[in-house]
Amino acid sequence: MDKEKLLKNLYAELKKGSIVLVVLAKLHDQHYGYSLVQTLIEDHFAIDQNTLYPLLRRLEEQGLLESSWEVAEPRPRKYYSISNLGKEVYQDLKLTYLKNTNIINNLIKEH
Amino acid sequence: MDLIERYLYQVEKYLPKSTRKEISNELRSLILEQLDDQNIKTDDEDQVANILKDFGEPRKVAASYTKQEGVIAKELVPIFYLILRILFYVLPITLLFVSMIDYFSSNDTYSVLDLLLSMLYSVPDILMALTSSIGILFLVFSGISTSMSANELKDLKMPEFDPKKLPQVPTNIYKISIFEVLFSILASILFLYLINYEQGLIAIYYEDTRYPLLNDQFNQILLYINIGLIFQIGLSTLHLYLRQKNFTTKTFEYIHTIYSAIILFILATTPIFNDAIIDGYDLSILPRIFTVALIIAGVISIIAGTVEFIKMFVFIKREKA
Repeated sequence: MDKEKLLKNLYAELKKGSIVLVVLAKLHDQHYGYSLVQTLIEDHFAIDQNTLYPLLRRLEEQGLLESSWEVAEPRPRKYYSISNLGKEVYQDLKLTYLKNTNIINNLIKEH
Repeated sequence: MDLIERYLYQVEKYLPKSTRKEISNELRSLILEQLDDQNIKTDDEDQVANILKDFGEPRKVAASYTKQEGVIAKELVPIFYLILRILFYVLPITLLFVSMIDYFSSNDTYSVLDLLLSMLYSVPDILMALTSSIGILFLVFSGISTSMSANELKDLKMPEFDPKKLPQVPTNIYKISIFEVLFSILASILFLYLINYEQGLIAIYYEDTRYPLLNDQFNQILLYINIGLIFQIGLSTLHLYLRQKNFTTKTFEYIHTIYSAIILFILATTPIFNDAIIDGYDLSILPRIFTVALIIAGVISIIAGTVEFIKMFVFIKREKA
């Protein structure tokens, strides 16, 4: 496998682990799918829409997100926001992530 | 808008029924959002096609919404379900057809009840054949899933996706039922076989004796009936290939309906039936009943065919409006 392709795959894997955390963080404010994609691009954390949209559905099925269709707007939109269970899970995930980040920072700073 | 609906129709085909509408509505809303954001009008086919290309090939999009719970890679699940669906239609119908042929070729006397019983006896075989086929299919797909790495599955080569080549969404008047089409093909083949090779089977069966219902006059019309049946098989096969009807095939269908009705009238007005007298009972009323039934069937098929054909023009007119 050439270096470029290898790196691309490794970057994707590195990012993959934190996508749920980022989505849960952003959905403390209500968003519909496309607005979330745009917000994440502005925050320099672009996620492929084919990854994000199914993920939103999956998190909703797991009870971490809530959704509602708004039909009063020019066209129907499905809005997502974090649920109470989602908020609890998010706090735990965030702590674990920060702890791991510290550990990893210590591990990689020597080289 | 047409291109978007064609795209969503293809995605829906690979999604489980329970979530199909919900996911499709959500995708529609997301596509339209993106078009709005980039100031693209829904009738700008080139730009819409670019957006749809970004969304991805319908099978891949459907796969991304599929949960990976089993041993079959989720990238392969839509193809697995598609083959499974075809199997569920084709296998039972083919096996029932084979059991009918087997019944006719291995018996000297025939009755509808015996035929139904023989078909009923083939149900366990059908279930076994279905179970084994599902098993084999499952093993093949599991094998492919384990032999391919995650990256290979992700990069699974699919033909270059061109949204403009997406097939049209069949409207109600152009929709076909796969079951109906397959049944029509098999019934026509069976009828062709019966009237050409086993004409004597069309008879009244009474106390182990067969009284053939048709006389030699029937053979004079046989050629025209054969043409009608072969036309029907051809048309149904074309519908099966296209997976939908269109203006041309609907027109052919109407011509075929009129042709069949004429054949029914000729059959009704030609003395094709034997006068059957069984054990002193004069059953000469039976051919008369058939004659009336054939005329009624001819009239009904002309009326129904014409209504169906006119409905297509009403639909086209409404679409244009």
